[in-house]
Amino acid sequence: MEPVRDWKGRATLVDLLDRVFDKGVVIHLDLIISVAGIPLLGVNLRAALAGMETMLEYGMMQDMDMKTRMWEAEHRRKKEAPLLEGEEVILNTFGSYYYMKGIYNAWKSGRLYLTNLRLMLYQQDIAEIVFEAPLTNITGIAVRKESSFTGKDKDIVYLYLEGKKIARLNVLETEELRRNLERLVEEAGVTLDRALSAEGLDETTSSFLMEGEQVSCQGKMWYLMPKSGIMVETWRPGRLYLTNTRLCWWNDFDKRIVFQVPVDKISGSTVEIKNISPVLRGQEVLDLIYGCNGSKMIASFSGKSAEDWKKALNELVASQGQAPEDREKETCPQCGSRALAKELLQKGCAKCGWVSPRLQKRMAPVLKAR
Amino acid sequence: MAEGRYVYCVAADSKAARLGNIGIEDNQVYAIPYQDITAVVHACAPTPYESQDKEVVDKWVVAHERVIETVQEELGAVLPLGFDTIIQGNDQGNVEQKVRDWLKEHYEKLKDTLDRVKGKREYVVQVSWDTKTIAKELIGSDQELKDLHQQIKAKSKGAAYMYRQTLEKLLGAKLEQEANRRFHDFYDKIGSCVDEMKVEKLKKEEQPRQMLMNLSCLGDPKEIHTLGGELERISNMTGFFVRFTGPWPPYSFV
Amino acid sequence: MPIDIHEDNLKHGLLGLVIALVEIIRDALKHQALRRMEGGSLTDEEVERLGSALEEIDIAIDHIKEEQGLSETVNSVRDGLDDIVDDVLDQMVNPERWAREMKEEENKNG
Repeated sequence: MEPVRDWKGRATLVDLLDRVFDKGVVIHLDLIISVAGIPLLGVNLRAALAGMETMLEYGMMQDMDMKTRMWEAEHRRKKEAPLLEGEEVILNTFGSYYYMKGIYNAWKSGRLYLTNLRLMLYQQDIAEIVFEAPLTNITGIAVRKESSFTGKDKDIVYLYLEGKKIARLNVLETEELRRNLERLVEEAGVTLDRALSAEGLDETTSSFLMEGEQVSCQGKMWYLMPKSGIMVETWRPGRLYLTNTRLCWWNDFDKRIVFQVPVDKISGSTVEIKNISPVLRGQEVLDLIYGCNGSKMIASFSGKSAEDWKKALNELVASQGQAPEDREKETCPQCGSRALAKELLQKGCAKCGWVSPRLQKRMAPVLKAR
Repeated sequence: MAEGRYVYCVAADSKAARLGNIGIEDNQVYAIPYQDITAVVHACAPTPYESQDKEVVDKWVVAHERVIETVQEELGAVLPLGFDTIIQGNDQGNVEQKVRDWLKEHYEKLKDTLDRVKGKREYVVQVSWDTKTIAKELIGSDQELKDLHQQIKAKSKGAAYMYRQTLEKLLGAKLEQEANRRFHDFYDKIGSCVDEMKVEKLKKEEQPRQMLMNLSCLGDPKEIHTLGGELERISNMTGFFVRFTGPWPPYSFV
Repeated sequence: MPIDIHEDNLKHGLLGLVIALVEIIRDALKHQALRRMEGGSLTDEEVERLGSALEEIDIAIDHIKEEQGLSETVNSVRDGLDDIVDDVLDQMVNPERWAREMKEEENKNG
């Protein structure tokens, strides 16, 4: 058998194209870089999966067709990590950082550099620092085993940072990183909290828990989101968390806390069976009574564990030395008659028809969309 | 002022030779030497060669290759660079000096690599099979498959469909096993005929064709007939097809 | 390779995308049906019914593809999806594999 080469022919041009792009000697100098184009043709799932920012980075909004795409295909240049003068690399390994921004959540991989100045995750292909933390900003490090969708257990590193943030990382050499990081941070003069155990941490809580905050109760609960703009009151799915400092509710869709109240502002709670929609009838609804800016408010949650929550919340209130306010009476500001606080707040005064400003808002017609 | 240098390859030579207007867009190609190695370039603007027109790009790529092959012919060993490698000058200008400095900095490595590929060429070996043909063979030879095939004949329409699915699944697994076996077998046989090998990504082919292996091989053109013979044997096997192209400059081995 | 949908054959492309997805869902159904059968939790009659129903779906899909001349488009969409899924899975949290690939790249670029 003889090897084929036809100079003008197309048969072997495809082999040449394979070689001439993405092969050959690589020069690390100031090169003229051509945009690595992955054109956007209607539906490009790869871009959507990679994330908005990367898309823009790659010049996604250009209107290129298949011809250009063919040769620009994988022509990406690798760039060296941007180390500062005098910066020494102590550990160079591979890792991923769990990036959360709005509804985009993804693990971003790259080369993990632990230097004498910082911990940095760098993606060569697009020359981007995915994650960076100066050593002096690191206040604690904890490791937790978690199971992933692949079935394998992996060690997740929780990095506590100044400003109460927590970063989640998955690293190839977990122990190496921990050892060296602890050593370096303490050498830099910062005392690490070695008692951290990453208990109660997961991808949700690590994004909103403050330093020193511990979760005591959590569960899936729907929350009645108040009216806003053109949106009526709506029930939304999410998770309710009771910590040592607050009660807060995490919106599954937005992936952030949209309701919270400090524990010392909680007065009490009741559970009632209500119809929360034409379809969902007879649901357990937990009404939380709390104080805000001097006045009393109600937040409603729904879920199977409503009774358990009521118990937990009432215990909390009792431990703060107050009597739970489900039975407490209030005076109607308009006519002066006494009624159950909850009744007044939720339905208004039975005697004179007074409604709280909040309730008024709730009952007002929805703003018409233009 | 041409502030860019389009670099084609690095060769073992000491002359600042001029190779004529053989470059991309008929540019003047010449050499920038450092001691006994040299970079083959043409002067250009500091912008990459880009085009929406496939024909234009093909033309450029062929020109790129031609320069490399010309140098290879004259000087023996070359280290090819990818398309559109353009070095730009810094603020002071002198891009030629930059090229020289780069050659100097990597001198040892470049020389070693030039020695390694001297007199050798790259060859592309792709082995594919016809899944239909191979499947038929397997059903005829594998007991499990044979039995299942027999069972189906006796089933009612709907059940037959379901069992056919099971057969297909099993067949898929057996094909994969066979593909693996063949891959390792061919890999060893081909490996013994060449100096170096790289496994490349498989290319998608039209059904029922399926690529089993895609190799870049580095070998001596004078000895390549041994590889040719081995590939001949493989292509003579029923249901197997071989694509063998070359010689190419050693893009994959530098 | 990204999914190929041009402006001038958008409707055709969209239909191709829809059929590709229908095929993928059908494949998932087949897979499940097969598992149930192999697991022994189906009676003979159920197997017969399931098989007939799935075969009808196959025929219907083939019919649509033929009528609309969609076979090429559907194949290209499915290939594109395969590539994307491969890519995404490769890039997902798997530092070990990534390390291995990087090592290979570095040895190549030296």
